[in-house]
Amino acid sequence: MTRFVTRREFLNLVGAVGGSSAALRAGSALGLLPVTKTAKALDLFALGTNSKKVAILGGGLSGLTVAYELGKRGYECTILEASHRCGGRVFTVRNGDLIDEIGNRHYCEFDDEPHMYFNGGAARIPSFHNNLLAYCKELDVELEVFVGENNNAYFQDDALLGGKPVRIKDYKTNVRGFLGEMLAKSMSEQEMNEPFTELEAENLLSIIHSFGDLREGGEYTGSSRSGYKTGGFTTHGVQKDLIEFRDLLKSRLGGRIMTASEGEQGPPLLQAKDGMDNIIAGFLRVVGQEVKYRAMVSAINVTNNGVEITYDQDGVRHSLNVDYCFNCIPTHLITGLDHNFPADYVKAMKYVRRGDAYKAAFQAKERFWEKEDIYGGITRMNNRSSSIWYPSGGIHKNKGVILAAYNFQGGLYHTNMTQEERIESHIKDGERVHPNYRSLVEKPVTIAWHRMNHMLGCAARWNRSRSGWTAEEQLMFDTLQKPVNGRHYVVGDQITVHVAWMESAIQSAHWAMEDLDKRVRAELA
Amino acid sequence: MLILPWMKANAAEENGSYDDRYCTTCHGADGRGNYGVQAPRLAGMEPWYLQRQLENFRAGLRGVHPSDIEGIAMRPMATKLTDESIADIIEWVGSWDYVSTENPYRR
Ligand SMILES: Cc1cc2nc3c(=O)[nH]c(=O)nc-3n(C[C@H](O)[C@H](O)[C@H](O)COP(=O)(O)OP(=O)(O)OC[C@H]3O[C@@H](n4cnc5c(N)ncnc54)[C@H](O)[C@@H]3O)c2cc1C
Ligand code: HEC
Repeated sequence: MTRFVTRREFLNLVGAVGGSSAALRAGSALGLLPVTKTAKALDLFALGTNSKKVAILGGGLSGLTVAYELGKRGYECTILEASHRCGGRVFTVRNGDLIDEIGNRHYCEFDDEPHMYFNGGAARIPSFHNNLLAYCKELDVELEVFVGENNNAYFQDDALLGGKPVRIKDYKTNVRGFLGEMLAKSMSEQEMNEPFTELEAENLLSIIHSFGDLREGGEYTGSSRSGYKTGGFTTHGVQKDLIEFRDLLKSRLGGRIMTASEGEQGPPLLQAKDGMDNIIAGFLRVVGQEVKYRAMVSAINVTNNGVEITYDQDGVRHSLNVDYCFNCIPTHLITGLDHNFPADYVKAMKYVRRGDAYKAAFQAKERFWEKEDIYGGITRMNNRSSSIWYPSGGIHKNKGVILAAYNFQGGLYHTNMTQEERIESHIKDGERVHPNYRSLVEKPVTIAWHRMNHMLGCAARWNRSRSGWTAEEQLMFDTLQKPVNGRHYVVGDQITVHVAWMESAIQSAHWAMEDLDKRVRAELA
Repeated sequence: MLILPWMKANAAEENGSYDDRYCTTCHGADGRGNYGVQAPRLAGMEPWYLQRQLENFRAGLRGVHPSDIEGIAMRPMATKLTDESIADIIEWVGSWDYVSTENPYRR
């Protein structure tokens, strides 16, 4: 039997769990924003007449960063990339592109137009990822705004209002109204009197009133913030009916809806115009000639004065001897190579697990979302496909590409399905929001990172417990971050504490190059 | 995007016939096995056993139980194989020498 709690009881409950300061702290934990110092030019020693050879294993963003920076200082770099393309998890699919999933190799059939692309990996750049942004500028990679937050997009949950999609603005406005009312009521009852001066209390009340769009007396009776039911331009607007508080509380996703566009995923976000892999193309304009494609590294032997690399290309085994090696191959794949790494290094590599991110996209035959006042942004659903992303660009063109599913943590659910099952699942889920979805979408692509050739996963997982890193985990991380013999560096976002961001891949490369630089300066001094 | 020749492997190759030789991505260099992917050693495996297992995965006799996470990882690979490609793979795997999965630190 359900027991009801009165508002007063509820406020007491909140108080009992620690009162406002605990609530405030919980709120700021949302952010968890790492501090990025402003991008600084790397101060690395230029070799001049000295010569040094470098092998870069994997053409991921961190590897390309190393090739670019060390190339500038006169190092002779070779990039060995197992796949047919560079970029790894920075992957944009367009007409004709291969999606090299093991057991589900398929090709993208989107119309061949600049705005018809899908970012199957990295898709958003927070405005404080300074090193990445600095490279975009330096390499002439055109950026544009990525629309992530759109209050006109939908929230759909079968448990909420009979499954009818609700505009995010309606959900948020009403929740804020009721939360505001609760706060205002508790204020007027002198409950929060103590710690405030009169002026502070007055200002707090005014914040609460505008937070919730409350009437005089702290009452919430609906708001025109989320627009009118009818009119508003040439005739007077008619206010929408409010959604009952109890109804709003039926969804488990409420908290996520209220905060989805905060922290690192909050506006303003940026993206590379016409596809995120234009960042990779920017690097390749400078270091592209140094890449060997379909060159799969099979052995790494670290010696006292260098590194001996073996790789297979076109069915032929090659060897490459270098002074230094930077390796961005995912650690759980490095363990399958022939190598002579120290035991503690191998132990760390074996420990790291990988997240199983999954994304899918459709070509839309028409831009049906624009007819519903949606331009860019994200609809959130309480089902396995989880999201629909409407494109930020290509506004008012005939067609567009939409994200049909995104699961960053639990992607194995779709990964383990056949291509047909995946597509059917996304269509069924999307129909909950857009009734004619099935007839509006075509030409699907699915990107199951856990099965993507030469990646087999997405985010490196260093800590097994939600409560943070253990001392042992930190020790393993420190071990793997340091070079073997001063010769072999593992790089990539996998060697950071903030995985699955391009900025992290770049910062790990910077860390490794700065470490190398000390050694090179000492040697050549 | 302007695609210059060095920005990708050549397109003919990319769009070429289906490539069955994904084995080493999971099973490690020369099929030595990879703990990181929980994929066992293939090098040195008896041809009849290799064939039987590939056929079992393909037929859904192996790698289908929901709790068999590793088997589920292997199965999609096998479902795509034809009898000819299995024969071809057995020959390829036969060319790998047995090596220990664990690599002791040696200099
Ligand atoms: C679904 C998804 C969403 C993401 N969203 C964002 C986002 O919004 N914003 C953001 O900034 N970041 C995002 N990221 C993270 C970002 O893509 C990565 O952090 C970054 O690209 C990692 O770069 P890396 O240098 O570590 O190399 P990786 O991309 O891991 O590349 C590794 C390379 O090694 C190659 N390789 C593997 N084996 C071998 C071998 N034996 N021999 C030679 N080469 C080999 C691979 O083919 C690959 O090219 C996302 C990632 C995913 C998957
Ligand atoms: C996506 C990763 C992946 C790919 C690609 C892959 N395998 Fe596997 N394979 C596995 C895993 C994981 C197992 C372990 C399954 C288990 O424990 O039941 C396995 C098991 C096997 C087995 C059974 C071994 C035994 O001891 O019974 C054989 C045989 C095999 N694979 C052969 C191959 C061949 C040949 C290829 C290439 C055509 C291949 N695999 C490609 C992941 C893969």
